[in-house]
Amino acid sequence: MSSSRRVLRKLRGWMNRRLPLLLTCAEMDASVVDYLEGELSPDQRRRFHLHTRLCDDCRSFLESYRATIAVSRSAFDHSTNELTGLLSAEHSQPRRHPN
Amino acid sequence: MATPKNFAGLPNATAASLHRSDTVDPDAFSAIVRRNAGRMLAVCRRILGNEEDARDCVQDAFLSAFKNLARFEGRSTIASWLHRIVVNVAITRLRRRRWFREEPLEAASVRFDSEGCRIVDQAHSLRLAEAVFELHQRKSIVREAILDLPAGLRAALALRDIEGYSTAETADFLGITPAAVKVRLHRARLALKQKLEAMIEAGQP
Repeated sequence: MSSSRRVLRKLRGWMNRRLPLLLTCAEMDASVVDYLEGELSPDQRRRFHLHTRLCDDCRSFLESYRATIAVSRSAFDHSTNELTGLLSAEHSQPRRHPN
Repeated sequence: MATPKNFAGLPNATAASLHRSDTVDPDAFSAIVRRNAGRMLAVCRRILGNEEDARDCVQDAFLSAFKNLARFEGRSTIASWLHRIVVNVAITRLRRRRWFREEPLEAASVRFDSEGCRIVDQAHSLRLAEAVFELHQRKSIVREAILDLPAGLRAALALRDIEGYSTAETADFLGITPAAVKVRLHRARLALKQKLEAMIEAGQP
């Protein structure tokens, strides 16, 4: 890591810990599930967005975290007939996914 | 995020109609089987990754439900009760099958430096985000990574992210709190993310 990047990280870490409107990376991490579930309050959401705007590490983390969810969701073939041969069952429910 | 409202299931009143005197009405029970077997099988497939085991689990779950129908108290829907049974059967089977290499739930974690800043390999994260399209095309690789997760993490991921049940439903099926579901889900996603990044780093896909 270059020395200028190290200094920037140090400064960012200091700001995140001291300034009341900013989240630390750990606080951002702790609220990422709630953020994606849409369960943060408007204020918490604003602070989350502000952190991801200021922190490129968390921004790229969030991007790959979202990518992971997207690929796991599409990894299983959602065939229309889930009942093939099972107990002579013939009713199948429609698929649902979270957004 | 949209939350599924109603999932496969009969109204609780149906449970009462299952019993004629002291015996179980076979027609009513087979209606329950027809109505719920598909989704239960789908859940087991995601958790176990094996068609034969998934079918065995669903049959075991129905057998167990049939024997214990008298204990169903109607506090949840029949479908919810059946899902709880089948998820339990599937996780027990998975743990038995993989007991010798079950990883601790803490296996996947995020790291922070002394300043409290996230330590992340930018290149890894970018490559994962860029490889999404390719990973969509090569589902077997992702499936393999998911099936390699510890049982508790895999079940949470299978129910919430893959099958699309709400966090509350997932918690109900796993018999844990919604907060515990979120913790498992986060760890499962982190573990999967790490596995996928390692695969991409190694030249797959």
